[in-house]
Amino acid sequence: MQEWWSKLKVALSGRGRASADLREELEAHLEMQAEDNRARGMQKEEARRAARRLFGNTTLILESAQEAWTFSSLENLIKDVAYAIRMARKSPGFAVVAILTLAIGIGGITAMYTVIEAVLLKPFPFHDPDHVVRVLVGGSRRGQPDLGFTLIHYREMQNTHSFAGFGALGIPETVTLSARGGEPAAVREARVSANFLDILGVQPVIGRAFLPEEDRSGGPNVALISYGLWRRRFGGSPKIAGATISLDDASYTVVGVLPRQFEYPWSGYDVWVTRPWEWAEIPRTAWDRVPDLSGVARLRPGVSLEQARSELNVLSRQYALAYPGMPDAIPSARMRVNRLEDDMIGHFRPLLWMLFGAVGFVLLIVCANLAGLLLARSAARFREFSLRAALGASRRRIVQQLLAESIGLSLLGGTAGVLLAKFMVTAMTHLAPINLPQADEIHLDGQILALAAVVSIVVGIVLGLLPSRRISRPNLAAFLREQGASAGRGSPSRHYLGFTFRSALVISQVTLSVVLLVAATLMMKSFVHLHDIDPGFQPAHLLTMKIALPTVRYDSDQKKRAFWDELVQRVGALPGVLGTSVARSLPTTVADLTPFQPADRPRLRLSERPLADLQVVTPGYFRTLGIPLIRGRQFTIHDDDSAAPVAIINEALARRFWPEYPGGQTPISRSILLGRGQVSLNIVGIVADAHEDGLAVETKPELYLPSDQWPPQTAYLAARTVSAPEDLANSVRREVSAIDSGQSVSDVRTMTQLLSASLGVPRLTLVLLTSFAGVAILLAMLGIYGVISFLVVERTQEFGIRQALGAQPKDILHAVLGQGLRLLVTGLAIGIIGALALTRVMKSLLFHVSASDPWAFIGISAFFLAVGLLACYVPARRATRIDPGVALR
Amino acid sequence: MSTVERQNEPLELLQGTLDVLILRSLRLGPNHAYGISQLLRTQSGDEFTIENGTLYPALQRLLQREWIEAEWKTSPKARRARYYRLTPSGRKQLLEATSKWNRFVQAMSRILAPEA
Repeated sequence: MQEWWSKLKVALSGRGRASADLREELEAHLEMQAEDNRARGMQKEEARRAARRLFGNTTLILESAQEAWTFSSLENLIKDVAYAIRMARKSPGFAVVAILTLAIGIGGITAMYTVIEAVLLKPFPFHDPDHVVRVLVGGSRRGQPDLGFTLIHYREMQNTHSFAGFGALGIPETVTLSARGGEPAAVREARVSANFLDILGVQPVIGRAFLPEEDRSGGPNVALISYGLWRRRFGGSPKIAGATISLDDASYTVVGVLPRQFEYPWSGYDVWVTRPWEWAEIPRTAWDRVPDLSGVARLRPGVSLEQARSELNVLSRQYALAYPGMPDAIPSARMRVNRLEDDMIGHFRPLLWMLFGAVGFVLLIVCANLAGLLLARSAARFREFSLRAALGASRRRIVQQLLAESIGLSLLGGTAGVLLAKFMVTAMTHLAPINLPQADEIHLDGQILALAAVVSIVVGIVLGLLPSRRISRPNLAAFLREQGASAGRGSPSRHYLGFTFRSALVISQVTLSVVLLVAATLMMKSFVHLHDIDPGFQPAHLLTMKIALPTVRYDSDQKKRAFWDELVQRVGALPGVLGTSVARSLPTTVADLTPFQPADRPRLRLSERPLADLQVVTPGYFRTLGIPLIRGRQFTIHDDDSAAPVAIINEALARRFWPEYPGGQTPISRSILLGRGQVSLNIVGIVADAHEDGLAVETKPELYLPSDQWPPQTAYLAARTVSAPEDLANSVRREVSAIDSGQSVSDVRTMTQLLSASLGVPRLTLVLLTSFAGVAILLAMLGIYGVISFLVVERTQEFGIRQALGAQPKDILHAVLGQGLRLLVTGLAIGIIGALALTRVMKSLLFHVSASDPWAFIGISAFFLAVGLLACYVPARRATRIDPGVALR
Repeated sequence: MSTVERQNEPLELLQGTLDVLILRSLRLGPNHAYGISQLLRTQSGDEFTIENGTLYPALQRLLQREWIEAEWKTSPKARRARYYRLTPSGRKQLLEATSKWNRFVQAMSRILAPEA
């Protein structure tokens, strides 16, 4: 304190006065010394000279004495920063390259961390989310999908030791929402048991949760709505609780609004209603025996997933014995009990961590690259540092100076990186249709900015200290004496396992970029595989949309049939439409499963029958989508409710029960038992397999039924158009409202968009990995180029001598390329070993590509050698052009 | 252990000891910088050579801590010189430092002393 005060006094009273004092004092000191010298018998001049010699460097003494009264560290910092800015302006190229590469490195890692933080690290907005689980019935055979359970089964699971609460979730729906003073709109509706908020541990922000009596048959129609819908549609009015809305023409009382971040069962849901087992799509009498419920439950504290599973397994076995005819009565069933969080984000985890690893690699490469650049630059600036040291700069001051420069660069790079990260985050969450959970929570907040700043500073310190270690070690004075004979070579380089530090940096860059390139190549191969899959239909020029008929207005098959028939007719008559069809699901949308078996085989228990996708289509479906008919006939308008029930199967289904197909007995004209087995359908046709469940999924048994016999409540319209399908969207909408002005449509997409959305995750992964790998290779090649150029400069004299002694340019070219090759091959070898170990984590992301695909590895090695040698070739050529006369002078 | 001391090389001052030495030299009476350096050299039996590059910054430091004060005076040889003098707080600091130093020396010699 006191010291600061007197420093301040000196500063205020003016340094001029204090330094004049000091100067005078030094002068007096010299005089006194000289006098003493004279007293010892020296001549006057000699005495003065001796005094000066003994005295030392006056300016330096003056400066170091004055340093005592300055706030030196602060002042030096300001000077260093000013100097750093001058340096950057003197060589803007270096500064720009450094800032840009840093921006890529820091921006990439900031963006990925932002996404990971929101999606994976932030706990779900449920109370104690670790104890919330999802429950399903495991498929009876390996490879069978997990199933839901029936209402009866659900009731059996109510009283358990493992769970503090057990609720149910039904099949989600799209419904038409209309409220006073608003256009009808399609919203996503989740159907849940009344206790679901208790289980998730969430309180509504307005109003109340569901009450138990609202789950009873005949109870009141009540709904909870999302925060988003409340703001969008009801202007955030606090009077929303108690308001009446209409969902598919049935009126519901809104009892509450859920919190903003609330997402269940998935993102994008706006309405929650009770009684999930009362599903309009199926007849009332079947409500308790259709297995379309899944469980959402809270584990009691201290109960493990394993314990919960075994308890449910026992209960399910008892249920299967008591109700053997139920579709989910599988005595050997193993219940699936998984943490809800794993269920919702589990498949994003490997993807996001892999991408995070990839940007981490990019950042490491950026650091290695910049360290190399700074080392080269520090070698070039060695003269400057030597001079400054000779003029009295301490080692500390030079290091400080270097740090000011590198931290300045890294902070600028970090700032640019944060801007880049903002852009990347927007691109990842909004442009790519990958439907990340908690996507609204993904943004750069203060915490992430602080983290980016810390990363920048750490990178800056590391980058600054690397060259300073080398600069400060050698005897700087010795350098000046030698007058830089070995051109910029500050000190003998230290070697690490036979490589100089700079070479080691380059090897690490090659290694890391090889790993990235392998990952990108594997991803590209699997994307190409996905893209090359023949979908089994013609996706181009198809307009699709979803139409959900409200159960209140369309309460009979008659009305539904009339609507769909008129829609097909009207849209089919539009100019520019080649064909049109209505289907219960379209490729890539979710299809329903049904058990089936041929009628002439021994009856299997319902739960043992194989499952087929159940499709309901209008007659023009196969023509509209372009699915070839292999045998038999298509549906016609005569396949209506007065005719015999018929079905068309795909080849996969035919093979399932007629193994000799296409030889042997023909399945045509045989009967098939659908669902619970009361209905027998006559097979009238066989169509080719189409990827109805999306490209990445193998084709499955498919059962097509005519819509006039099974009119759906919710269906998709597909129209094949002459020109761009988007252009017809509005005409089709007009036709829908012409039939029924209160009817909403949703999910208006082209089939190409649907398919491409189903490839959203692989595409995004591919784009990110490829750009990371591209940046990595570019930097690694720059690094190789830099280090080889540096070596060529270092060996100028040697090459000169060699040439003078008769070496051919070829020999020198080989010598330089050999050096580069050594770095490349070492990096490549380590990189390939690393890639073999690391790409395993990608397994779940790859499609029909092995994580150790030999061709990928061979191709990449060849590519790297070629590009790397090219990067070495330029400086190597330069080496051959060395003029011995100039080099040796 | 063999002796590694080279007799002709001046001793390096231990870090922080110069301040104490300056304070001690001023206890004899006010003195100028040249005088202080001469005094320290002779009193140490020519073992310490105080570089001006360290002496002047040290004097400035002590001035700022207000352990000494400075005044332009005329020397006995009729020369104007800047005389430094101990302040009361400097005197106190010297006492503290001296007793600390004595403890330090005792501890050092207890360890370094040849075993009896």
